[in-house]
Amino acid sequence: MGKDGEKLPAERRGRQRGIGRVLVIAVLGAGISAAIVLAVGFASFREFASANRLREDLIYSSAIRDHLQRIFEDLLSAESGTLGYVVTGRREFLDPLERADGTLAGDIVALTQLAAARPAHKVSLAEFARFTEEEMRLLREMVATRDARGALAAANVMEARRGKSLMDRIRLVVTDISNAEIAASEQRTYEVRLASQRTKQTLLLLLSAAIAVVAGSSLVMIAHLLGRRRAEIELAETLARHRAILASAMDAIVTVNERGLIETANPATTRMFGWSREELAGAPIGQLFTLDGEDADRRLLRQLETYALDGGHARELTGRRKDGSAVPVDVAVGEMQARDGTQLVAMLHDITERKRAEVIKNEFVSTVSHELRTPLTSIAGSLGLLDGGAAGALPAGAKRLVAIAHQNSRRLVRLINDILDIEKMQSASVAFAHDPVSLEEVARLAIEQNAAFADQHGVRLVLQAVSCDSTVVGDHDRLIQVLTNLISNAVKFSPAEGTVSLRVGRRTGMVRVSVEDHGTGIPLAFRASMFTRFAQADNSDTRQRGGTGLGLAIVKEIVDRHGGRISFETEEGVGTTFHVDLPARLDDAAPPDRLRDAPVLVVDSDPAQATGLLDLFAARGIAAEGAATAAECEGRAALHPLRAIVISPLLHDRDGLSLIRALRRAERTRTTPLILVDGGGRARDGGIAALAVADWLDQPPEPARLVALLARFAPRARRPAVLHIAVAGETRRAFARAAKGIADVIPATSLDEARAALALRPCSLLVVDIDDPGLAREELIRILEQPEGLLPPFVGCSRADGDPAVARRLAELISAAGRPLPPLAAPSHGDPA
Amino acid sequence: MTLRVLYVDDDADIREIVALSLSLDPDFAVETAVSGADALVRARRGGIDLILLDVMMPVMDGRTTFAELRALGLDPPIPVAFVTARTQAHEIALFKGLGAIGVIAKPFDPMTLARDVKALCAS
Repeated sequence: MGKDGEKLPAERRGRQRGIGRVLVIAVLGAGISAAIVLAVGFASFREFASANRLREDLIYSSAIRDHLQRIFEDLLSAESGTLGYVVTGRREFLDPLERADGTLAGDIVALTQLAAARPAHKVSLAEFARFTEEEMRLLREMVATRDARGALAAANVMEARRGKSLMDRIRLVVTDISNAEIAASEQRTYEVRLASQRTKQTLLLLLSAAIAVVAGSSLVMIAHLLGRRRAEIELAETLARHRAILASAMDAIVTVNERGLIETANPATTRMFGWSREELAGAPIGQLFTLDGEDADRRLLRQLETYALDGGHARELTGRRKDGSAVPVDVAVGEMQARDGTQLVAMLHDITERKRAEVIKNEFVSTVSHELRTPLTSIAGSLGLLDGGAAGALPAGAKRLVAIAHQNSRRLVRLINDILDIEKMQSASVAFAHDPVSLEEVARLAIEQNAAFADQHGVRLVLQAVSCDSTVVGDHDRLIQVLTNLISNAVKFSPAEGTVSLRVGRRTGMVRVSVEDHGTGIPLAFRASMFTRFAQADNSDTRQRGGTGLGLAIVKEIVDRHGGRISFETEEGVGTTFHVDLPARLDDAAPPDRLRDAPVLVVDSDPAQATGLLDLFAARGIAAEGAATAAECEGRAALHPLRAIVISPLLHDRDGLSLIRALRRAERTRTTPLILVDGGGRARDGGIAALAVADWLDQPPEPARLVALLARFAPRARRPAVLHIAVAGETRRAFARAAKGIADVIPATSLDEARAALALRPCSLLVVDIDDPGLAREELIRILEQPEGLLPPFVGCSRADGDPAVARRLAELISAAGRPLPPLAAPSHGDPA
Repeated sequence: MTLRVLYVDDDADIREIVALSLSLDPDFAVETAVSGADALVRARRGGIDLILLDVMMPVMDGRTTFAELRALGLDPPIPVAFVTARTQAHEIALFKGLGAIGVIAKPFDPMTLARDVKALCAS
């Protein structure tokens, strides 16, 4: 579930990215298309304008030419008329001249104005006007000469003034202007056609681009739609699959929202707990569990959230059915990001059968142990007596057979013992002693006890000189068992006349015992499974070497239970060395003054257990004292300061939990670290998270862990600690800067974190940043709601120095929390005092 | 000095083996009882220095027999060691808690039983 929970948001993010990309492409496509349309429009408009200009220009050009031609024709008519008059003397021939005389000057002026836009013609037109005027003057002179002196004289005038050549020049000018106009028009027409061609190409290009863009965008859209459709189908399939899994799951699976209410529950939930799905929907998750105490639902929710942080490891809790009966369950919790916040997915596995099987198994093991041993006592006993000669001397052949039978009956005894041993150790039903043990001494004893066995194999056992303190804390007999098993293995795999060496030495806080042989070495394939049960390299080994196949599994179990580790170095044909590393007794590993200050109080009604713990502390040089009852505990706690209190929850005179509550209320023990040695895991279910217990230890407590825990509470000369609850990083940093050198600031972002911090170190002051934007009002009220004494004296802290609004808000919060006004101030930020 | 031992067990084979094992040592004089009731009769009769008591017996088990022996009010009380296949640590602690001088685990080594019993008495 957890994996899916992580995967689904990733898929959603991927889908959102896809939609974003399509949107970008659509907008881009639309933009490009719009730009293309604009460009097409612009090009068309330019084309149209250019054609328009050409047409106007052609008309203009034609007008100039027409005008010029008309004037020239008028002039020609006037000339012809005049010549006619000169020849005939008839006056009506003079009509064109007279008409030209009246209009020509005006026409020329008009032509000049018309052609003003053609500066190139300016000179030619001026010439044309001059020649025309000259021609007219000549014609009028010819008329006057005809009238005065006759036709011949008039012809002479014309001849003398070179009338013909004048007219030719005028014609030339007219032809020049006309030709120039025609050439210019042709040039312009050509240019416009060229431009038009270009425009056409551009338009084609733009159009192709537009088609490409539209096609591309469409393809992307289609691909997206297809992908989306596919995703929808996949989603539907996934949903169907998940539904089927949920429906067919043997375990109850519920999703819980941030308010602790059940959102969904699968059919197994209704089967397991008897509530219908309708009854479960919206019900608090606490409905499925056995809870006690105030505010149990909320505490349960916090507990489940903690489990979720723990990678979904299963925890044992007690569930409650609708009919009120209890059902033991393993609970694993995962987190899921939903639209409206984080949801928890809790899987509840009914372990009733497992529990029952455990009980049956334990009974079975115990019974088998007895039932097998009783006949074996007779068999092994009889054979032992026969073999030992108690029944008289045996014939040589019989003696050999009896010896074989005796050896194997003893092997059977060892096998049963080993099986029982490992069963007991792995079910943790066997208590280990916690005594100071010298591993050097243990090595000597183990060599002593195995000397006869080694002799039988012709192997020599050697303990190399030890030059260090080899004291550890543990179970003397079990440690001998460890070395006995290792020595016995080493001997069995050593060649005759071989040597098995034991070395004892120190390695950074650990004592190491090594057992070295020069035997066959461990085959590569076997190395990985060395420490598992019945894992001998070769099945025939078991028979040949006479082992049980459990020796190393037992060794590992014992070493693990001592907080140590086992390792080996081996080379085939050269030999093997096993190393056992156990934590050295602490008092020489750490400065004594750090550990010997205030005593640890052990509260336990079971004298054996209390003695075990007191011995353990004594062995580590930790001052400790015992209290058999809750009353004695409170008495001792009132007497002098304590470094920590180790409490067993089952006390004769009072429930351990109520004692913890009382200790938390008492002034002296309000912040004393409490360690709960929790036999049956009961306290964990009881929801005592709110009581700021520093840690829980299983029964029996692992010595190494307990001592390590205590080391955290070692009293040291140090600055007073101030607990600062703030969420915003900036706020926290600012306060830490302000308090630097005055006090140690212990930051916390919530009440729960604050309590956890308090369990580790007492604080003299609690500072809460009431202006912190990250700190929810509800959390603030929760802090203020805490009973007197659970938290250190409270100081509200605000950035708004002396702001009456802040003080008002504080007072309002306090009254909302129903707590009387303590001597509170609202000092400026960073000034906690 | 001879140590007079009474071994109590419902299993005849084991009774025989224990008797034989202990008699390998000339310091021991062994007699056996077949049940808790038998043991009580013999204890009342006197002349016993040590009782080795099986735990799992029908009718009257080892613990009850032990309690009854104590109830006889003999002065001085006869020391008792249990001989049992139930040798888990808490069981051994329980027997010692009752007041037994020790526990001998079944199956025992017949060749060293006498030595083990002597060591128990010495401790």
